[in-house]
Amino acid sequence: MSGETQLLESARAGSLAAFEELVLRYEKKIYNYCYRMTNNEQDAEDLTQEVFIKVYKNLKSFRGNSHFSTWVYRIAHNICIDRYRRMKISSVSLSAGGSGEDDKEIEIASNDQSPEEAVITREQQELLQKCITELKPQYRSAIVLRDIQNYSYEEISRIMDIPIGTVKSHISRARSALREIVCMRLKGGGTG
Amino acid sequence: MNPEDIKKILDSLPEKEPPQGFRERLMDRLQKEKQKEARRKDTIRLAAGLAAVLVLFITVRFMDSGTSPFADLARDRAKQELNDPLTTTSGGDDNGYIKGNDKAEGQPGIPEETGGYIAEAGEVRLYVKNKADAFDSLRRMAADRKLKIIETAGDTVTVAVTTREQDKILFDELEKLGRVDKAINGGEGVRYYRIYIVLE
Repeated sequence: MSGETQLLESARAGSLAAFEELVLRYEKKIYNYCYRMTNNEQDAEDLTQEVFIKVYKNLKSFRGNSHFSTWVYRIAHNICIDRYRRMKISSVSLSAGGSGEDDKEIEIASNDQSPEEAVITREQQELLQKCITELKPQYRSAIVLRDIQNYSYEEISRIMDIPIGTVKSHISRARSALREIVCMRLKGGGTG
Repeated sequence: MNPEDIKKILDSLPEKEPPQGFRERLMDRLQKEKQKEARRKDTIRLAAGLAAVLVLFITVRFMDSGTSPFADLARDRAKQELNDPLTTTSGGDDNGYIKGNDKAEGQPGIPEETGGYIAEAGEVRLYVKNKADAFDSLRRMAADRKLKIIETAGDTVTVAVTTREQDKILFDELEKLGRVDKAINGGEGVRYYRIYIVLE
């Protein structure tokens, strides 16, 4: 089986093998989306499993009005937002606890490197990931989909079920907020 | 640092691979979900089957014992007819009621509002010297005065009246044919008269 439509038909008819094929196509993207939304590998795995179980249970309700990927992402977005609302996941505090990572960040900053140069290291990428989790969930979702997963504004609008104008506004505000948080961290400031 | 720099940094974030065994764990869960769903469907089918058998059993039981509500109604009507033949109209059909659709050809049927049965019939005795002449005269009179004969059975003729004027006409004409005794069930509200033709 090659075509996604064929796979969908077979999965709808109850074929787990066909559904596994579909999982293979989207697991990495959805896992990464969930990981960027939670910054926790275990939570990301749980959420990704929840997404695919929900997709499987609701396959018959997918009418093909949008791309299958958009539909899957929409489920993932809703699950992540629901989970945030349910559990009130607190944003990761970068300053709390004085971890070794924070020390490294301060060290990088004190080496007189510009922020632009510094962000190429793994530590800085991890820092950025932590900064993303400090954003509001809606901003986080918008910026992850746009700047990390490279979706168009239109697709993001469909995934998040909000107007394109709101998507653009979310992304713009998310970038500004993220820039402020990153600069603050690189200067060795607290979370506020 | 401007927003474009942020965009570049975000774009450089590496993709993470799903954990080892992720798909196997997911498919195991799905397999279990599928089995659970199949069991749920089986339970629903079993429940539906049991409900159908129960309904069938109850229906057969009622039919055997004749205790259905329809059987009760028919039995009550039969009892009423046996106990009180005067207030129960007799007619041409099997259960003794005159039905609107049992009308003789060329005669008007009983109006729909009666539900097909004569509900309130006044009874009149007409004493005559010749029954056959009386019947002929009654038919002619009804045709001339536009009165509706609903039924003719044995020595009785049932005539419908819709207005007080028709009521008066009927009795004026009957008195021309013989002696009239309107003692039984007469008066206001009567829609039909059953005329018993009695030899004087």
